[in-house]
Amino acid sequence: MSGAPNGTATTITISIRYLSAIRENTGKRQDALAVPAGSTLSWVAAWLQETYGLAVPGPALMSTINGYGWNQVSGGLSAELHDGDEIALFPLLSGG
Amino acid sequence: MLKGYCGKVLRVNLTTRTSSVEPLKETEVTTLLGGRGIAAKYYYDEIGPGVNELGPENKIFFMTGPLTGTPLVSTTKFQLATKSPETRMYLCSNCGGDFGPQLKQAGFDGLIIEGKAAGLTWLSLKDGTLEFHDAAPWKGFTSVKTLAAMREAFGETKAGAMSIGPAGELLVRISYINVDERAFGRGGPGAVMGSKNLKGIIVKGSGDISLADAEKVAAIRKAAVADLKTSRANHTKFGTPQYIEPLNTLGCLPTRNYQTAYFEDCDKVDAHEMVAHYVKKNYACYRCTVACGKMCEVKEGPYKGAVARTEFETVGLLGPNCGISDFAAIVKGNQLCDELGIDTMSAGNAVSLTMELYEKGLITKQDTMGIEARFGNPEALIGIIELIAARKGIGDLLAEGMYGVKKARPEWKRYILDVKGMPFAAYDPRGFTGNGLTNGTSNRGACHNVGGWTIRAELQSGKYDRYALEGKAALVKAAQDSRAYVDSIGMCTVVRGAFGFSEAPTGEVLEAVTGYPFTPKLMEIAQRIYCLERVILNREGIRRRDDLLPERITKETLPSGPTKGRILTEEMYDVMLKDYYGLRGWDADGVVTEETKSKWGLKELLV
Repeated sequence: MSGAPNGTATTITISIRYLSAIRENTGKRQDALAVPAGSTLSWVAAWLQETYGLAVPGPALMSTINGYGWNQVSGGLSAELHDGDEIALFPLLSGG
Repeated sequence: MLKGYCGKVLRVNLTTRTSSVEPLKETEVTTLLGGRGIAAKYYYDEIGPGVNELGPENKIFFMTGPLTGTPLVSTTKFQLATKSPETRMYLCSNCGGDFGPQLKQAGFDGLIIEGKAAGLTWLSLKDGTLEFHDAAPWKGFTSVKTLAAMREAFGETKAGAMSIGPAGELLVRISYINVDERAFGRGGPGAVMGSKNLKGIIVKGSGDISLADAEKVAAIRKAAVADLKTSRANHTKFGTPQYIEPLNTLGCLPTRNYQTAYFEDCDKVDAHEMVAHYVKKNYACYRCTVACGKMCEVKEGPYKGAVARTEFETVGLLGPNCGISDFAAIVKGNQLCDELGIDTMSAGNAVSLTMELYEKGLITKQDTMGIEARFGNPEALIGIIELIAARKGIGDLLAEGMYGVKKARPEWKRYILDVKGMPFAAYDPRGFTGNGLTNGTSNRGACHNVGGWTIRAELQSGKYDRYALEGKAALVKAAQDSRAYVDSIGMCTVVRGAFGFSEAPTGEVLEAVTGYPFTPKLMEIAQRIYCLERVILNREGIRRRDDLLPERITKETLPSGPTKGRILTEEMYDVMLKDYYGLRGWDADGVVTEETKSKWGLKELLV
């Protein structure tokens, strides 16, 4: 996967939650992933594209990491993942 | 008159049982567009600050927009302006259904209701023919039963119709108007109809709406339908309740009267639960291909047989904000509100307030007429709604709206979530600071729509930090302005994106319908409308003190969930408010300056 450093021995664990209508794409509520330490959000984006065909970030859905939008966090797709990070994907919100 | 408009407004006087037709002025159309903009102008001209909202001198201005009823998509919307029984000030409200399109096909851009009928009355309008009818036999009818009775008596099943329930007759200040099973929900306009002894109106038109370029309209429609099929597919399957789970995950879902913003039983009330067990069929407004309405039915249990169109705000405010995790009870509560004729959002806030007061020992079973008014008790949800609609027990006070509750019991202010008497929607601004400014500066009191809904931009645009203050004033202002013009064109906001109706408007649909180059002027018109509304509010005494947020938001940190520890203090809010006033051209007390009035042409318009 792009974004994963070469030769890393240790891994971290992250979770990805699929909320509301996004669950239709994945068929499940969440994934818990062991990720090479030093991986970045771009690793997650590539994994989601390869596994579910989801384009993240993209205009059709919203994506957060620990409650912040992917493009709110410092570094954007280059932001490094940390053990316990929680990613959430959900449909575009537009007011009730 | 431009194409897309009828050029006429029907004025009905209930006192004299007369009507007249007046022209819609083209200068007002080109400066205020239609719908919300022109309704506000009528309000400015005819409703002075001393008008009693429940007196015969109050009026209701129903106004369509240039796209209402045209052969596009979801051209269902029309607006009302009236003095609000709930907030005691100017109210604008937006509604779908068939009434707006039928009114235009009957030959009228707008309908003005004034005076007071001697007895309970309903009106019928068939093309140019208006008739007054005795509604006395329908006294106490639910809003739904009244719609059916009018349709049967009128003999037109496909007419557009609006009605009030028994709560409107009893002048419950959070009463709504049921419009073809859609709603003029907020601000209590149902009580204005009730105060006028007006039980319902039905309209059927057979005329065509003229178009400047019919071929172009057809081509624009075709492209928009294709866009919406993919861009709004989630709305078609899950409706607006699809927002429940994300907002809970973001720590923004009001829970137990906004004491926290994370509901631990969210799975039991989210859109998947709704679709799996309750959705009976989709509901579409006039010419809508999205059909985001979800007609839910309870198939078993104590609420078996309950049926209601259940939306995000209703689920949020009757559900988690009352601690309710039983979706069937939410459907039942929704149905009761619809039938009795009260707004689900204000009702949800009133019930959650009652529950907190009860749990804190500030009221007792004597107040609740025996109801164990604890959070999470479905029977309490049902029972308190019934008390409000019937004005019994504590329901009689709650029926006065939050403005009335605070006046009678100022010591309860710290538990009340409102701005200018309008209760909050189902978003906690401690999770998104821009949403705080939205609530504070909305022109009808706390409202996520009129106030400018910013949460997606705060989270996804990359320009903002959801908890920071920088840039939020401009963000909120732009969202408010774009909503002001969308509310004036006659199209649903759910489909606006497919027609280029953003904060930087594009497309040619308004030109194809009207023949007038509206699109480049939309944001200018929008700012004129928002300014006009604030001039009205200033005239009614609204100042900076009225734009402030409730104590729970500014003095209490969130105690749990993803936003634990977050707060929007008065000092933080003041930073955004000062920025906002500056951008609007209002003075430090929130008053529109003379220079700003001139900038938007209001000095010429408001003579």
